[in-house]
Amino acid sequence: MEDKKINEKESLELISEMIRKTKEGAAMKQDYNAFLFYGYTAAAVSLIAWLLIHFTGKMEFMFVWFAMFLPYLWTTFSGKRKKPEVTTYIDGMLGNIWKVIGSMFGLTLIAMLLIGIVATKEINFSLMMPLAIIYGGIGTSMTGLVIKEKWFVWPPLTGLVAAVYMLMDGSCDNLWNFLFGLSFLTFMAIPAHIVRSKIK
Amino acid sequence: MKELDPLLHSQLRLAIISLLLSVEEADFNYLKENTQATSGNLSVQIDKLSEAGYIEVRKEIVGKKPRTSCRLTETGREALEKYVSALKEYLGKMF
Repeated sequence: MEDKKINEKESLELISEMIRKTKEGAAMKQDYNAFLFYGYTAAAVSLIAWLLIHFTGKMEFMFVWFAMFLPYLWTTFSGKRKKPEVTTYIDGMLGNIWKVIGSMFGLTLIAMLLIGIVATKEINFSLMMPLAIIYGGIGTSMTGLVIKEKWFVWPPLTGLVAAVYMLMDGSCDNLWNFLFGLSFLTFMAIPAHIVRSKIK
Repeated sequence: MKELDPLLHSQLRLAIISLLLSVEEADFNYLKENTQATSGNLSVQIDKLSEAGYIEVRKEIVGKKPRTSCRLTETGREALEKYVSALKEYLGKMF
């Protein structure tokens, strides 16, 4: 393409062609890797936690859940090293949704820590598991609504059932690990594979 | 009859503005790939659009590499709207 004059008809055609190119490009560039990464990390960590607790009987191994910060750190730092060639308005909106969800995770952890130190005199992060399913599910559903993809909108409801069970049950046992991993696998990893296969 | 904006009535500059219309931000490589323009020519046209206030250009270092990104300004969006309506007027008179 050069810096040359074009006639009126060619101008309108060029505008339409460029708009079409950006729309097609935006659809093709979505890989949903973050969903796969979080979904599989949650499944792997849940399996490790379940095995450790099952064979040792020590609930202290729940600390392995802090490994869920690894995908967050990876996505944050890889995002700073390499920016995408193009950012659509939808990308911007999704980024903001997940910033809010991420803040909810962070604030909940801080609140649990402070309440544990000041009020209850016992730091207990166990409720983080059902809350994480709810937060992650809300983020995934909102992503699905924005990109109009039913596979991201509805599966988080299965996670919600698991989260409600955990909240009602209250006794953080080894089953929670299984439910947590299964939930993230169901509403993040599996839908991401389905949506990726549709794009291809 | 409305006059066509001479800044937009050029193949490459119009392509750049049209590409930026439906995205929040695009970098130099994306614009180069989609317009098939040479780096030198693309740089010159980006500068012209930036000087007119039609686009905002940001230069930064990402992962030790320089990155130039562009976004359409409100002035640019309005200019394109006026340009398209003038085009439609011209074409309407022709047919």
